[in-house]
Formats: sequence, structure tokens, C-alpha cells
Amino acid sequence: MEPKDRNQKPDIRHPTSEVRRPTSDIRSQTSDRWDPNTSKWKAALEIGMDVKLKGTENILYLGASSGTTVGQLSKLTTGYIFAVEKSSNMAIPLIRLAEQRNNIVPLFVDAHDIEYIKSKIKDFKIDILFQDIPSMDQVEIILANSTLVEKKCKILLSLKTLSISKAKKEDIIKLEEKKIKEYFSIIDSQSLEKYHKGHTFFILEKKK
Amino acid sequence: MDEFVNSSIIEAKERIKQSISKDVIIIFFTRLLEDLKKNPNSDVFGRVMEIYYFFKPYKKANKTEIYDFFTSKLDQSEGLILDEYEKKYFQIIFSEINPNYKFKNGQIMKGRIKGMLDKITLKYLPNTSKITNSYIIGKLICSMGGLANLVIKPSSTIQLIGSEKSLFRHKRINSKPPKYGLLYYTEEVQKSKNKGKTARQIANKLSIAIKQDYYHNFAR
Repeated sequence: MEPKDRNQKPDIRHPTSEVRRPTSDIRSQTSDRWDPNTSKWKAALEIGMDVKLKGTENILYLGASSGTTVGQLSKLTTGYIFAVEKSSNMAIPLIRLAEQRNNIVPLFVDAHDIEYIKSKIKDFKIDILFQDIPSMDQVEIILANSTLVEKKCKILLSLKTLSISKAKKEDIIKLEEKKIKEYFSIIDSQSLEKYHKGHTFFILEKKK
Repeated sequence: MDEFVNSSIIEAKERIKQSISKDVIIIFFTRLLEDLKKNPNSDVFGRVMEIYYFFKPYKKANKTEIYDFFTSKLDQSEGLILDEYEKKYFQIIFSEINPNYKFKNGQIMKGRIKGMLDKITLKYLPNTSKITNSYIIGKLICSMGGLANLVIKPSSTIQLIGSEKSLFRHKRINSKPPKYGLLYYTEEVQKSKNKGKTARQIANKLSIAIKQDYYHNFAR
């Protein structure tokens, strides 16, 4: 990496409004290439973790954003993908994608609101739970959502340590693993440093 | 397509429709005014495109389709919900725009748009409109990208919006810090002898008033 140029001008934003549009579009959502630099699931696949799909799974995807990974996943399964996204700027391309494909169920709700998600899942059996939400209470969210799934379900968590605190990565992971080990058993955990800075990927299973 | 997937898509669209907030209209009017002040003959397609995105977010359209949409019928089925007064304002504005997206008489429209802005801020932000005029409120909201972001900031940030260049220069080189930003252009600060003190006082009162209005009118 090149050293930072200190003589560069700072990034000044002049006082104007911005209508923020997400960068992904139908083209990137349905293209043939699945980029590991923008998708955590593919980065985990490239490293060699056991996250391959069989072809008939129902997935609960927390933190879908504009739907780049969701679009790629909908090509690989025949089951339903329940995509949860909280922000309206990101949910609009997701709905445009869901109109094109057959098996995406968009849910415009905060991931803390479990009763709404439960009422939408109804009787479907969920095989994989995936979470990619950068916030301070990542572990609490996945604990609450794990009450919606059974014991056989595979739980995948992508943990971003910078959104918890600015301390060292190893210290934060130790603390979070303590919380996780009360309710889950860790099958595998590796760092995604090659593609995503500061993220670790966990594969978990419910204990009870 | 499945009935299940279809019904969930319709429900998600309804929920998004409820979540679009009305400060988008304020931002649209202030940006129009800003452009017209610089050049009464300017091209307004960019601004129109931004607000068209909130009326119909799921479709892409040409220039001519957008023009027809605004002149003939304001379809409120998929996005912003407008009052009768706001509908009238939109119809007035778009009756004065040519199909090549320029105003027929920009000088007159300046005054009319300012009047519309005053009424809108009086309706949605009554406490803040007692402190400053509507153009400056609109510019403060535009600079932060929405009311929800402006509510969170402390009053010292509101005091210094618009003077980022001198602020970062102060941090980098240790030059003199700025005392005011956009608030320099209010009446009170222009008339006073101690401009920094009045700018600070106005920013303090503004931050309280914005919170009152936001949690009464906009938040859920």
C-alpha cells in the first residue's frame, strides 16, 4: 500500500443536499461474476469455509442492503430468501430485484423487530441464518433472531470489530466469543483479512 | 410468480411509502431557489429528477415522461403523499417550466418560490421559523442531508455549518478558528456589534427548536 499523501486537500463537502443512491443496480445484482471484494459470503467461500449451498435451502438474510449477494444466492437455491433491510434508500433496489426474480421475499423492517419477522416466516423451515449488520449490538441481534430457527440450522455471522469499539481486534474477539459461547457452539471461525479488513466469519450452531 | 412473494412485495412497498419523510420537499424548494439566485435561466432537470425518485422509485423514465408526469397527474400511489396545498404548489411551478426544463420567467418565480417555502416551513417547523428565515433553515437541512441528521448534531456544529474550509485549516495549521458559517447571513448577526456571540446564541436556540419540531411532527 502506498503511504498517505499528507499534502492532499481534506475531503470538504460543500453545503448541498445529497440524494444518496446505492451503487448497485440490476446489472450488478444479476451479473455472472460474484465478487468476493464486495460480498462476505463469497469471501468465505474463497477462503475455504463450509458455506456451499445444496440447492433447496430457505435462507434468512439479515442486512440485505441493495441486494448484490441476495441476487447471486437466488440463482443457487429453489427455496425462499427472506431479505431484511432497514433503510429505504437500500430497500428500493432490493424490491426492484425481487420483482424480477421468483424467490426473494423483501422485509422492510429493523432486525430487532422479531415478532414481525416471525409473522412473515410463518411455517417455513429455515436452513441458513446469515447476518451482516455493522452495529454495536451485533451479537445481541443474532441471539434474538436465533429463537426463530431450529437446532439443525446453520448460523453464519460476519463480525465487524470496528463498529463495536476501536480497541485491538484480538481483545474484542475474545470478549464477543465469551458471549457467543453461552448459547452457541463455534464450529469454525476465520478472519476475512484478505478481502475485507477487520471482519471475522463465524459458523455457529445452537446448543439447545 | 408466487402469491406469497407478491403479497410481501406489496406490503414492503406500503411500508416504504410511509417512511419517506416530508423534508424532501423542503430540500427540493431550497435547491431550486439556490439555482435561480445564481442564474435565472438555469437548467432544472437535475432537481426535478431528484424529487421524481421519491414519487416513483421503482421505475426509470425519460425526460419527456417525467415532464408529463408532473404537468398532468401527480400519482401518489407509490411514494410521497402530498397535501392539497403542496399539490397546488407543484402544479404552479410546473406550469411555468418549458419542456426543455427552463423557467419562462425566472425572476418572478424566485419570489413565488420563496413564498411557498415560507408557508411550508411555517407548517412543518413552526418553532424554527420564528428564529430565522426559511431559506437559511432549508440550507442547513440540505447541508446535513436531511432533518434526521440535523437533529442529532450539537449546537456548535450548527453554528459552524458552511465554514468547513477554515475549520479544517484551523485544525491542520493552527490558524484562527471560525466563529460563524451560514448563520452570518441572518438579520440578527448582520446588525449586531458582537457577531460571534449572537451567532452562538442563535445556534443554541435553533438546536432546541429543531428538536421540538422534529419530535412533534416528523418522528414516529
